[in-house]
Amino acid sequence: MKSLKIKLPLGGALFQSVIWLLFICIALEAFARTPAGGNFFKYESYGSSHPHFDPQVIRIKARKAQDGQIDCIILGDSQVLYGVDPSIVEQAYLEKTGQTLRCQNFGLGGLKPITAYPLAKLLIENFHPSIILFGTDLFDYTSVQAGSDASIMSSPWVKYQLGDFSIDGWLIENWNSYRYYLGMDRYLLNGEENANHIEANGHSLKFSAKTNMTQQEQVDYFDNLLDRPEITGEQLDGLHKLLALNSAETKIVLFETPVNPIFFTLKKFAYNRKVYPDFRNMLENEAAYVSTDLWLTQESLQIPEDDWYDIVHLNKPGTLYFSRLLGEHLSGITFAND
Amino acid sequence: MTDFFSNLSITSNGFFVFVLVALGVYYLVPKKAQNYVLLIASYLFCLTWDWTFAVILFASSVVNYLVALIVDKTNDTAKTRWLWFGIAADVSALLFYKYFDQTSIYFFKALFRIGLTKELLTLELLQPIGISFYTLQAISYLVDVYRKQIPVNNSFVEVSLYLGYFPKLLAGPFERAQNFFNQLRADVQIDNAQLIESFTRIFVGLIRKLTISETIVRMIPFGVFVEPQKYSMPDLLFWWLTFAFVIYNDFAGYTSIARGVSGLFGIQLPPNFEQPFFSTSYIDFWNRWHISLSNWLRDYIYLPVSRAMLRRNPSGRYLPNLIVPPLVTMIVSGIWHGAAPHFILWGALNGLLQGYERVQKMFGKKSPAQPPRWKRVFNISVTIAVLILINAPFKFDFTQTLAFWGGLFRWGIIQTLSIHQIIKPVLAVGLSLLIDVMQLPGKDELGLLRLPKWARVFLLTIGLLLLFLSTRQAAVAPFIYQEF
Repeated sequence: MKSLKIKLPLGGALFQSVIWLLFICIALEAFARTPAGGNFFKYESYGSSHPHFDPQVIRIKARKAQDGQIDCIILGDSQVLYGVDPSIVEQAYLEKTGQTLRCQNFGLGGLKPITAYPLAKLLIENFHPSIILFGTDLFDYTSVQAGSDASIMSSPWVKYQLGDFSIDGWLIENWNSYRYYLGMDRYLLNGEENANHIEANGHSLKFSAKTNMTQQEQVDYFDNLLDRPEITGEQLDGLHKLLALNSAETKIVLFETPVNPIFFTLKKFAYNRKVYPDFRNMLENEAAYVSTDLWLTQESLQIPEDDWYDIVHLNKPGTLYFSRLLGEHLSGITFAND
Repeated sequence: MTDFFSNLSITSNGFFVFVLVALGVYYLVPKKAQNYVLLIASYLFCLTWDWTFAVILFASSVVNYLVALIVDKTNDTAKTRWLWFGIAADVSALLFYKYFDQTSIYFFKALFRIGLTKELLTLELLQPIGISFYTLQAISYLVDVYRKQIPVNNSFVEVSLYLGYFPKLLAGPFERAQNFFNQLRADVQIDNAQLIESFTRIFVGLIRKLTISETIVRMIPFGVFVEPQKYSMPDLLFWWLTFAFVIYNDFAGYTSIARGVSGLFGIQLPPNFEQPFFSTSYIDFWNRWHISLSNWLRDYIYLPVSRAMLRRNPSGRYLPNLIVPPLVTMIVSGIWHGAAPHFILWGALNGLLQGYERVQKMFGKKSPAQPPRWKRVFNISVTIAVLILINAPFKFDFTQTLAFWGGLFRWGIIQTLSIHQIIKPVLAVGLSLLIDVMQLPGKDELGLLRLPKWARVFLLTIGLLLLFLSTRQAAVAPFIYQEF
């Protein structure tokens, strides 16, 4: 038969260790908050394994710290990341309206509406933009959730920002040293992930020229990569919720991210020839439902053949062309910035 | 809340809350009710996995309790018959739940090849947690009662606890029945010193599992153990070497936590490891690795086989007497780990190594009792290198094993050993060896307590920080031996 006879071990090794641990953590954090600490700890992470998420969060936070306010966030997948240059958008907007606009690209490879909705919510709460431009295309609606979405939503910081409390989320938000630790941990796992191609305004210069693949190789590649084109309820629901964030303070605007017309020769389209017109109607209905703007580009823009990196992404000249048009289009939209 | 307490693993937060509640109730109830509390806690623990597991454990407890009573009361012939009935019942349950699906797949594959079936049928049985462990303990209890080595236990609660006691249910360590029963009845006053020992064991166990084993597991490139034929010798060798430390720290960590938690209830479980990577021979290794299983195999397989062999030819220099007992013992060990042919190969290779060493000892040149230090280091290196290489079938199936061994002779492009990839595994292996060195003098998990206070504070501080960071990772992989 067992009985207990214990007293509190104050002054013991464990007690002293806890005190030391607290001291070390506070000292590390104090150092991490100094400019020297920032330079010393080379890597930083917000706990997502998505290759673009950490750089984009770091850049948008730095931009806000530098400019004080971000007026416009351009959200979308890789077509936005590589194909929209916010500085060109700002310039075109300035030329048309005479007003300055601080624009930030928040493109993330593979982003779909189901994840764009919570991200937009997070961006609105943290950065209070006057307008969010969401770039979308047909294939954003084709599957429930792609791997890249899961890698974003698994970030404890994202969950914490959306109200799901966790120690990790809190630490990432409040402790620089913890973010640096996560960054180092990620480096040890994946090695050097060069994010230098993403500029301070969130636009990536990686697809500046033209891919080495032939058009047929690209068609075959995307035929293998993409799901069959159909609009799923889950993604539609994501778009619906995203548009419901439209308010007097933050306007949500949709624009279609264009693809090279050759894209429509994908064998996948044989499943449903009507899917593209259906998609366009769906966007029109959704935008009309919340009385917001929609810019359909696929059939209205004639993007020259040399302006494509591949059949989905624009290259540097294409980005210049499209971003200018986007800026001009933006000048015709009324939002809180005016 | 339900998720918090489902499939309780002994590193989960749920488990530690469960233990705290159980401890509270255990020390609050009258002393006579304490074993009932432990039994209820053990069945609740089992229920967090699957209700059928609790039913199977209960059935096993009832059968073994009754058979032991009958074996004790009956005469010689009937006694032996009842013993074999009990063993058959235990082994049948194990065969059915653990091996049926594993072995039937080979049968259906054969039928499939000759066109007699179009699908590979399995019953998709869930293997009850701990069945491999409590089955062997039940057999040892029956045999010990049969041999009159221990008195039969009339308390159903004590016999049920012996089989289902929750700290050791998932993966041991194997405990001797009488030792366990004595502890259930003993008057023990738990004081600060005992609590510190228990918490040290838990702390060291968590460091081994979460900081060392899990860190290495996360760094092992996916393809290395899936398609070893695609990697060169340095890649395979490095990751295989680090994987040896994964298995060791995973299992030693589990045992350490189980012993620590059990100590909080005033019950000491036996050790399972004694710094096996400092073994100077193959036999020495198996006396230091999974000690409680090695002891079980020694008492219930090795010694009976050895005695039977000696009855046929009593010469100690007769080769089969030296080779067959360890070979049979290790093959049984292989089959206990799994019904796949590669486990049998693994057991046979280890048995042959031990047989070889016994022959060498019998006929070879006698080495001094205290060899020089360089010789000891040399012996340790050779022993561990050979063991690590021949243990490939423990992880791989036949084809992969051959591909792995073939890869060890292929010098190609190094794909997975850049500096950033090897830093964490190397540090983790270093930490594992450091813990072993600290534990060497006392041969237990309490090396930390023998250090001066300043060193204890320093190591505890670093350890707590590492542990905190380790628990920030994604889901923890299940214990490897839990799968057996």
